[in-house]
Amino acid sequence: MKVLYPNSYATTIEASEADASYPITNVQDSNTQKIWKATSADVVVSLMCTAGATAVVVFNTNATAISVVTRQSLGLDPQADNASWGLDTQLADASWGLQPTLQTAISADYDISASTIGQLWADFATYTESFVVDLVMTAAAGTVIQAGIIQAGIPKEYKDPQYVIPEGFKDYSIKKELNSGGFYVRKRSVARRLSFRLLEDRDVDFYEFMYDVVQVVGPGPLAWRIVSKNNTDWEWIIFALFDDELPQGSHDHKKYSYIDIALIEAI
Amino acid sequence: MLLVQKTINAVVNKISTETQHLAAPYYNHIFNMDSLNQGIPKAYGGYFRADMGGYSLSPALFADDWPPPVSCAVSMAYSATTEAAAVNFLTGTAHRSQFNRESIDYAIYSPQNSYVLPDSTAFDDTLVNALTWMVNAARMDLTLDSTLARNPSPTVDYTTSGEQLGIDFLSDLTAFFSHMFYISGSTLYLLDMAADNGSRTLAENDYFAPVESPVDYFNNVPCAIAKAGEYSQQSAHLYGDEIAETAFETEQAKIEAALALIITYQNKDRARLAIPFIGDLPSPGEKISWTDTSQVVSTDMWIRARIIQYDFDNDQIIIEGEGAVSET
Repeated sequence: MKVLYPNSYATTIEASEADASYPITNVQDSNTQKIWKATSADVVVSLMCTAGATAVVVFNTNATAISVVTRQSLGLDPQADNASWGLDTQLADASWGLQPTLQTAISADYDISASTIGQLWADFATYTESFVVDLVMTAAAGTVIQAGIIQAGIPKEYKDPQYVIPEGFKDYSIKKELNSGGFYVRKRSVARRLSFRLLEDRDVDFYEFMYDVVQVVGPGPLAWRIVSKNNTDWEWIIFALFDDELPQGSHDHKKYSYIDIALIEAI
Repeated sequence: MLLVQKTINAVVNKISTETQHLAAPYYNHIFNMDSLNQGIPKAYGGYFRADMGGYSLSPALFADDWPPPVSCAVSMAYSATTEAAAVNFLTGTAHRSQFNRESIDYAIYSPQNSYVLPDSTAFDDTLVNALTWMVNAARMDLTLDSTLARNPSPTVDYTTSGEQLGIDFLSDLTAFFSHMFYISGSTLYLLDMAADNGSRTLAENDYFAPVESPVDYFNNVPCAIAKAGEYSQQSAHLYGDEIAETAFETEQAKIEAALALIITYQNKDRARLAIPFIGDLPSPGEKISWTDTSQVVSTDMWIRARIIQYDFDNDQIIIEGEGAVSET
């Protein structure tokens, strides 16, 4: 299981296009309904990330494919090593001075068209200095791409939950009986709910999860990848709050502890 | 969908009970909202006035404007489709009633026409002409639409005693002659209680069942006798209550004719039913007809909308009025 925390490694975020009423900064809010809207079906969102980030998440998007491209920022890279001051094409050992940074961008393509849920969790190798994550988003012609949440950070990784994992919904729709005997239904938001149990090493995993994540963020919301070891299905990704109460732990073994977690989708 | 524009420190904030991604976003900063009630004060007419309790808002809306301002301009509209198609149904003022760390509560007040009618103002003309004089730019500064007023218009012969708010005077005056009026924008619409301000027929899947909402067929406590000045009219229900009205005429026959209509509207069959927020909003005085096969015998009912309650939290509009009930 992975939970994206810390999740604020994107220091700035820019989009190649945006509806003036739906700016790209909306995706940095934790409200999934406070969306950014592009103006077409092809758009690039660029996140300037602090060194160390190894994952990016996108929620409430209608993009059907996203290429995640990581690259160090183009420009001049200070060289703190041997040799001369000045500009150097850097074909041998390093020198003092400024070096054009021409590192190869790393790209991974994600087809999320099979998911109607509209979310992405992408892991990638980090850099030792600040770097850029480009999200090249596409959708069917005529679609205006949007997204509710985009975050970059360092996932904390734990053992996958024990099965059984109950999953269901909280329905906010309105359903009222009509005089004819049928129903008037107005579909409103339907939130996913999941609950599960983890068995973790007490030291460090249990304490880290309880005190470095739960106690710090409180109810959330956070990005979760519930089952991550051998499963990449998008259905296991959720942007969620703790449902009702914060997780409860139980020290049933000398070295291991249970953590009971209930989540409700943030909508 | 409910679309609210609330002006906070000169900035218009677009908010709703649910986030709406329209041409501009309306964020779900309204936690809950009291019903908006519009209605006439008497079963036989008067001013169709909006009366709204208030709403609770998210503290996040005021994060950059703390503390929440005491008074804000607010407008409310409804649309089933786009922002451009929204129909405004209230423009008024939100006045802060209380706040705590969980919500900010505002009471909402509809605008008041502040014209004060002077003492000893004499009216000796038709009802329509009396209202034409009242809405003049020098007084209430409105435009009169009397398309649905009674024709010929009843006559008024009355001199006021003491100062009073013009809008309250008009409410009493029109009710005496079994008329109602409502104000939309800068127009005052005068309606005969017998006029249909539009009409619609509901199928049984257009309104809610009694188990869900207060669908009622009912009658007021009957009027036994209606009095105005030294004249009166009796009804067939002598066990009922007495109604006393100011006489806005001096001729006995005209007063008795007005009182007879008052008794008629007071004693009419009444109904209240709830419909979902689908299609056009009901208009004041609109005729609404339906068949109810859920009764022991299939029943036809029609009413004219006199009280309209917009219950946003429960996604329903409750409509009440007088009309006629019969077997299908």
